[in-house]
Amino acid sequence: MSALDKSPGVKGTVYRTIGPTALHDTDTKRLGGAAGTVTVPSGMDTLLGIWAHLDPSALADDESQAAWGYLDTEDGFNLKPFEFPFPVQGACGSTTTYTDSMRGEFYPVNCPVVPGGRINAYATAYEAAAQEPFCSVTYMFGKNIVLPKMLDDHPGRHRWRKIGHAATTTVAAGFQPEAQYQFTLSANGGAITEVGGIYWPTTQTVAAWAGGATMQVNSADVPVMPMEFNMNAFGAALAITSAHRSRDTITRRPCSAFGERVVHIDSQLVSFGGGAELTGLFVSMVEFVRRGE
Amino acid sequence: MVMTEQPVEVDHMMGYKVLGDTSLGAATALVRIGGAAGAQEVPAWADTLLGIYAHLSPSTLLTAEDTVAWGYLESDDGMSIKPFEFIYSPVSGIVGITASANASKGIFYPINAPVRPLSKIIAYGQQMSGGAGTQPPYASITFRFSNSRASGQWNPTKDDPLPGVQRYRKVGTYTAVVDSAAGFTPEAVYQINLGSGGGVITEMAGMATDYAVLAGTAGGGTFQFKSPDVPLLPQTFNANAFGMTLGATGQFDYTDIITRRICHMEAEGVTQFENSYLQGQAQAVATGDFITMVEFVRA
Repeated sequence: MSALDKSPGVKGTVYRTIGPTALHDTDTKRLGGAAGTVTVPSGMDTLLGIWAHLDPSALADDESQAAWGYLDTEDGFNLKPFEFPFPVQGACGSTTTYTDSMRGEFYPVNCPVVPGGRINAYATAYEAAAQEPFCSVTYMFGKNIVLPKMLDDHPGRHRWRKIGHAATTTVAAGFQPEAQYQFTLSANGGAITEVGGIYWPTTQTVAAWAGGATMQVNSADVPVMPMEFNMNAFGAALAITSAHRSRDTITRRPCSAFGERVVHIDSQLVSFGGGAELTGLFVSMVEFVRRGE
Repeated sequence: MVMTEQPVEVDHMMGYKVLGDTSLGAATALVRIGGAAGAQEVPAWADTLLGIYAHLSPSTLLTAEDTVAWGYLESDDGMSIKPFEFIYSPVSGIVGITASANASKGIFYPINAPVRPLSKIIAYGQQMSGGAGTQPPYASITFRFSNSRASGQWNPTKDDPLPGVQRYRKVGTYTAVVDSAAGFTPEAVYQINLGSGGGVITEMAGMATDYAVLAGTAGGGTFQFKSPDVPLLPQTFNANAFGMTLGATGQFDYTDIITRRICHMEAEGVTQFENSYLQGQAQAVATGDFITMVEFVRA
């Protein structure tokens, strides 16, 4: 059991779920309802990570389903910020279309927790839609456990995560900026350990997009910035009876970029391909660690 | 340009053999892969079965039939590999003559079992579609052998969270899903034996399907694992949802719908599982099924 061992002593993992909870318009919904929460199970000392799930309720012509979420606690855990996108449901066109299966997206956390403490999860849809998705989160708790490398590039390292503000993208206009956002490292600094984002069409657009894009993540507070990376492309649609396939459209790239104290992020995205009719959104995200925490 | 030294040990051998493709027939009978005498011979250079890829491909598509199957490995040559039961890569159902099923990617299951050169490993498969199952799928197994016990090199960590640790695996019973309004649907109780020295449950997994392709039918739900013999149970985890269809012509998508969650739960002796599944959303027509699976190691 070497890959899961951290130290001698009692070991174990416990999974808990919250949701599925229906979203509505662009309201922020607490998963599990108004008092929904997950209590840290007896004996567990770490929130190892979460799987974020989005399940469509039904499909509707010409609309996608996308949402972001965050974790919160009132019980003193050093958890925030932990903001993340849910997997995206691609937009359909007409009544003969279908969509991809929806795989949960894993985010390592490695946050120390105390049994009996409560963790709350929230989700917000990016757009009001006729068919509103359901969101849920699977928590993986552990005692004396670190994740294997197949799930976590930095086993045991406490992570935080921040997501940006969704912005509209158009092909013709070149790079489109996202509103600036920021996060705080420790007094001794820290490092960005992942950059990423999502990019998706909010309506079904025939042959308008090839689906590719380049994201640039920049910060005047981080020496190795800006970083540029290609986004995973969503599936292009040939006809109004097609859908935009959306498996793997959350793009995540590991990195190591050191910074100090407050880090401001300025992201932008340029989409390429052809097409005149464009309706789409993108959002960036960063994962980071704090030195000494 | 300076090339870095490649991290490949020259005394480490790792290679592949295939058993199948074999039709699983139109019924739900247990079928031996490779025919009545079908078996995979362990290569002369191998001392370890590192794992298998389980492949399933449809023959012909038919409305309201999906392509799902389970299988297991065994040996008459004294190798300790049982139980090793698994789910083949599933393929969705379709409706309408313009629909298409999802691609079917082989699923890797780590094993790390010691084996004897030239001995035989036998594999089986059995359909378990909730539909009529009249279109026989083809099943095959890719075996990954190595000389790991001699070389000290094991599966790449991207394939195996516990390199070198021998695994066993057990599946439950394919069970019709009751609509979510009725709560969790129980699966028939099944058991494993971790031995008197105890062991660890290292993975919980499940798959939820729906053979009738109907607009408005949504995937997703929650698996619950429960056992009176495992102190850390019950636990729940969300299921990966199958893809949906918008209209009367279309298909579902079963890619990635086997949800596998690594874990560490210690127990000993005979361990029973009383698992269940809760469909995430109420359905107009409930034609879904589910099955669970556990992986474990013995001390």
